[in-house]
Amino acid sequence: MSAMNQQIRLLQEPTDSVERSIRAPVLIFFGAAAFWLALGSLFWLLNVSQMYTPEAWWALPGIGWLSFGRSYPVFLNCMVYGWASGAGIGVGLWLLAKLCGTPLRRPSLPIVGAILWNVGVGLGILSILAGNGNGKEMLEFPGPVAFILFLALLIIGFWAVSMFVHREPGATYVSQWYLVGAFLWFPWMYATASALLNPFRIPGVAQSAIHWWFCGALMQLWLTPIALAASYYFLPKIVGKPIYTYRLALVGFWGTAIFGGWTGLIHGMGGPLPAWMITVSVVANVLMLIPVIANALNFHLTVRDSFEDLRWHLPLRFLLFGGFAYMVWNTLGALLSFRTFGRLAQFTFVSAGHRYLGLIAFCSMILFGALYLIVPRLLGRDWQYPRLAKTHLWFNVVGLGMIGFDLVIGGAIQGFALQDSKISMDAINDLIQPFLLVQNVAVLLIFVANISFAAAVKLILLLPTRVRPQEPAAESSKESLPEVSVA
Amino acid sequence: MSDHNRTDESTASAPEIGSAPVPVWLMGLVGLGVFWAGAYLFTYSGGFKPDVFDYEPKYGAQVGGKTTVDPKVVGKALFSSNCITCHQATGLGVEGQYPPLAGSEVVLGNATNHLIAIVLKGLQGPVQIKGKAFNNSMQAWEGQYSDQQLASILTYVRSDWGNDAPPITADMVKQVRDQLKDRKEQWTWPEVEKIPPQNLTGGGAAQQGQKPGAPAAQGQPPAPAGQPAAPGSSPPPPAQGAPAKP
Amino acid sequence: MNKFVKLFFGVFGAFGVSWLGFVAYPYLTFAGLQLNKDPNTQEVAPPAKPGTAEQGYHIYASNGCIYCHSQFVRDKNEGSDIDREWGKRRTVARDYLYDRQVFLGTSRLGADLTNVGVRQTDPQWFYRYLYSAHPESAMPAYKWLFRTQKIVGQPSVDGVKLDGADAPPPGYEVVPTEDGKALVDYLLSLKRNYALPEAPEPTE
Repeated sequence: MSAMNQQIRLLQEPTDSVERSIRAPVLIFFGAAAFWLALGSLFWLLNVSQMYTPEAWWALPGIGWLSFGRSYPVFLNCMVYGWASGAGIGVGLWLLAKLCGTPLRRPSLPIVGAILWNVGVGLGILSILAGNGNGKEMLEFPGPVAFILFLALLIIGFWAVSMFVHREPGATYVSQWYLVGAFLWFPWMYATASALLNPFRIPGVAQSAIHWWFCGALMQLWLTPIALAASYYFLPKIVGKPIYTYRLALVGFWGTAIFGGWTGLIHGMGGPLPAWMITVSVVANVLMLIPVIANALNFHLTVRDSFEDLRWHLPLRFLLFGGFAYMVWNTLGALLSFRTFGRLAQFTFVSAGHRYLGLIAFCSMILFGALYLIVPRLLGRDWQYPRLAKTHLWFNVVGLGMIGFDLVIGGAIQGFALQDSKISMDAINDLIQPFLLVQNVAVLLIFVANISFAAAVKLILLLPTRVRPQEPAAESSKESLPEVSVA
Repeated sequence: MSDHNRTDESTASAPEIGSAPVPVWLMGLVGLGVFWAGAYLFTYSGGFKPDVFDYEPKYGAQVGGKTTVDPKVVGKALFSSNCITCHQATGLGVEGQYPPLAGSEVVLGNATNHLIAIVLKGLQGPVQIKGKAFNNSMQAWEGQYSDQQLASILTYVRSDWGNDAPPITADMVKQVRDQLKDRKEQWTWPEVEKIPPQNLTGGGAAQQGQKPGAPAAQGQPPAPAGQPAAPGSSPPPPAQGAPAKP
Repeated sequence: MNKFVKLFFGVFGAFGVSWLGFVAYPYLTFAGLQLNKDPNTQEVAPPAKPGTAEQGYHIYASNGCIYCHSQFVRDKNEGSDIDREWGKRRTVARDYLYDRQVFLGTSRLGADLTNVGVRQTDPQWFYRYLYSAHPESAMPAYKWLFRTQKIVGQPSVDGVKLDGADAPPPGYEVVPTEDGKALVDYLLSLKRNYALPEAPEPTE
């Protein structure tokens, strides 16, 4: 058995009735999420090709429903709602089940929720392709589809929170706070933003205020809490040590809760919104560093002494990369909120890069790590091809590093050029060509990585074999420390 | 300490968590952060007003939000909505029908009261402008425009098409309007000539010695009473014999 | 249960404050904005958009124009927007009073479009640019907003004047579809070239 599978099995206690009760909806979410991940990565590749080589055949020019303006929202929505939210809900439900100790009594409703959610995402993607998108980032799904998603969220949220309410007596754990928060906040913010922007179109710039509020809250109060909850659970389990301190966890949670909702309006810098709203957003972005430092410190001091032993622990590497990206993402966000830098970076690749940092380098990587750990437990199987996991990790690391540097540096150049009115927009376009090429290459790497992961998930879900004959048999499966082996 | 940790018997499996204190340097950082946040928030928020879009604080005298608009620009816009129909965009009027304003002695003369009175109450009957005879009817505009608006129209008219006469102020219009408020009918030219040509208050006095343009020497009105400065006998005299206001 | 209640209220309250600040407040404030009526000229600002522009919002949204184009002008001390002649003054909340959908945008791969209806008044320019902006520009070719049809009798008034590689074969013309016309009507209506008390136009 490969080292990776061994490492995963060492996640202490065996599967119990609580986990088994949550199995069906969680696996539906995971399986569908892997599909959305693959589709989203494909559309991302199409999209960056359309930016760099719009006339090449692989950019599918002239096909209206696959054009740039459609492929970009499809990519983003697949990643946010299909992959990150879907997998996030699955991870959240699993974590809540484990931590609250309450078996899920009637799994049929969450299963309905899971199906509704994915059907909604599918309908939404089709609507965007068909030319019914709303043109607002993250809220492109038309009204009826948004309603379906909201229904799914209500069902899931209700079950999640009820698991917490009926939990085993005793102290609550950090992850539970984050998850209760997330499952309460997301339906609320999604309903508000969708309702006010789609059916009840309120006039004027209030639309933009609410839209940008939603974008900030989506990242900080939905995806971030789930990722943090997963980190707080898995990191101490893997290294076998307690989380450094409860108090930093408290600071981290309440800081996120209080400041997270105010961060989105940074996009409106210099725009037609009252100055105080932008200023409040700036302050929130900077003060977010407090909970971020608290959480990062907590994680660091928890795993600090275990690096040597666990250097080859694959899921741990995902979690640690994600944690590092968490710090970088929020630091960049705080830096960009100062107007001196913000006005330079405002309409450039830097803000896109910042978004990808948060969504893909932080949340996605943590979700990957979590899925690698959870899926075998729920299925009672091992990952058939650990090499796929290695490919996944390395291609992602290189691709994300590449795209991070590329977009920030390219965006800075773009920003300086935009500030100089003598440089025309066409000239700026010429300036950024090399960066578009690097972006293309980076996304290709990420695409390969994510396809590997999706394939691995499909294989483990669909193929019942337990151990592949080609894998070298482990000498003993009873050792408590993993061997350093090439898995 | 142990209340943060799970007991071994429960099925729930939360990891253990320590209870070390928050590092002092972090507390200091938080304090600094909150201090900075407060200062930044209150400096750059524009007083939390919904119509302040510029975040930079303005010290000293506030701008007050009033924009100074050039009366000629406003006047031209207003002229273009009504007056232009008859007097034309060129200010030349229509031969035999509507008198010109360009070079007109009524427009350019020191008799600003006449100009204002005509626009307020209208004019009918024969009149001679620049040696040409006209006999038409101009409606009263006093109900249509405020003092400020009339002043800007007249200022514009006095400054375009080669005209170059001093501006008319809203006060001047107001004075004339008040003095003439009992008049209901349109003027005839002889009646207009009987009005005191200008108010001796600030506006009128300032106009002595300015370019007269086309003085009243031109254009003999056919009406007999040619003294422009006789206030006494005309129907709408200013109430006080001497049109002097302090 | 107590713990849950505490957590619930904390979670609810923390989020609720930001909801009040960034959702309720803008809704109440900006929903009450009135048109500005200039006391001197009686002109109202912003002017209402023509009816055909309404359909254009949907085309603009669904074709993802917002992912490359922004629609707000920043002040002189914030950016080069005014120097680039994207507007004479910064835009303020009232400029968007009549917009059924507001596309402020976060990306400028292309020019800002707040005042594009002032810069380009000829629909032909828009049609040509939308049909094929290459090679001058990186904008995708929105050929599906047009159709090529046989010239029957007289060439159509809406026919797009194309030459070179884009020109249709002889006897055919390229005309915009309803969607294309609606989009161009919307773009032509994008003007904010009037002054407002809170955003006066600068005098020379």
